[in-house]
Amino acid sequence: MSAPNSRSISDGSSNAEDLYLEAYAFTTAAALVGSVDRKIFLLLRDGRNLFGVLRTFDQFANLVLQDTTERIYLDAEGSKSLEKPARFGETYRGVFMVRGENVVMMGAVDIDHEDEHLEVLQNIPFEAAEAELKAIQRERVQAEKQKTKSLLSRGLINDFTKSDLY
Amino acid sequence: MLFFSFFKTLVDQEVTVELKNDMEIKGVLKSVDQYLNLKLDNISCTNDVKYPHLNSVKNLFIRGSTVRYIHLNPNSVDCTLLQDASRRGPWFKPPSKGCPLAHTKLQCIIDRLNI
Amino acid sequence: MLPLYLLNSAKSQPILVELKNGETLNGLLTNCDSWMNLTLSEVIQTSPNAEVFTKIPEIYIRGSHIKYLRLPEQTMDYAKEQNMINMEQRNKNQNRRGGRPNNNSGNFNRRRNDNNRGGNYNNRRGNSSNYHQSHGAGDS
Repeated sequence: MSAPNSRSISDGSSNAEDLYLEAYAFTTAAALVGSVDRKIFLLLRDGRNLFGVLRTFDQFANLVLQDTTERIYLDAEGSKSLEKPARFGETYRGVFMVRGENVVMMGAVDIDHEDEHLEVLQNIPFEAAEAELKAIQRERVQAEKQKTKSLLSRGLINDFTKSDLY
Repeated sequence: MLFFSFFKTLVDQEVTVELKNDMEIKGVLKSVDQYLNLKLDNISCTNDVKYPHLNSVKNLFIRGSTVRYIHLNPNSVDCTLLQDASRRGPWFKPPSKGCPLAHTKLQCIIDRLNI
Repeated sequence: MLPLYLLNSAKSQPILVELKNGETLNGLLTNCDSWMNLTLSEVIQTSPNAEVFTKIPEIYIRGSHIKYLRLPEQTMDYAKEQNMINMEQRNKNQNRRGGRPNNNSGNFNRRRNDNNRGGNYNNRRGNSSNYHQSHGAGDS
């Protein structure tokens, strides 16, 4: 398997890729073929942002990522929301195998531009970022619980589950 | 199956996908599958302040189950054709003789939608 | 190489499993199947808020509750190696089979071949478990 560093080659083969996609039209798996051995961004349902090289996948969109880093984006210090990232923390995670059902979205990252947005953000230790995020999420879960309760009491239901934090 | 076929007619059109987390992503629809998983090209996020890391992502695979709405350009939808196709759904029309049922179903819609 | 094949070649190695509820399980992968159901041994279970740690000698996990797995770095290379070995073996067998005239003796030989192959496989497995034992001893 080759490292995803040869942009010109991969761009040149995009036509062949398209043909391949058409041949396997409209299966979940086919949509991912073009991203194999490329650096991808992956958002999980629990809100995790993963960046790694997609090595393999199957028909359930189970994914295997190599050299994965997990990144947490946080707003400016003291802010309790997640609206306008001002800080980030990241850590190396290695080989990841993600079950398809937990995926929200994924896409190939342009490795020439991937770090551009980080330049204006402040890098903080991952542990600190994680702790802060957990606190925010705990509050959110609490708030949603409250909401569900009051919705339930009025005979309305919403389908928020604790695992949906993306 | 009808919506699958319907979305197939929208391939190569620009759509805006609204996810259940209120995220909105605009892009050119490149492919759909039976679960309405989507593949978008040339994406941009309407709230790119919140998701700056999407700036370096050009094409995106979105799992169908996380989608709330897909905003379409009204010009790209042929309403009469769509109405027709939903009324004439395969469940109303007996399959023609000598043709496998599944095939007829799909063919019926595809013929209608003129894909 | 499918993800589940990769998982298969990670058997007897330490892995981390995170469940959908946020619980994590660290342990040695003893077995897995095509639904991603797993059995782990020597497990340390961590509660979703990372406050409670429990030691469990053996555990079964239903695949559908899994969020993700983290595998050791060398798993990919190991699986690739295994794949190569299997391919070579298959090619060799095919060539040998192709070279023989298709008669009874050929058939007989082939069957004997298959038996050999089974033996090889067992041997290899024995070796690898030895390797892990010695490896573990080295660690401690």
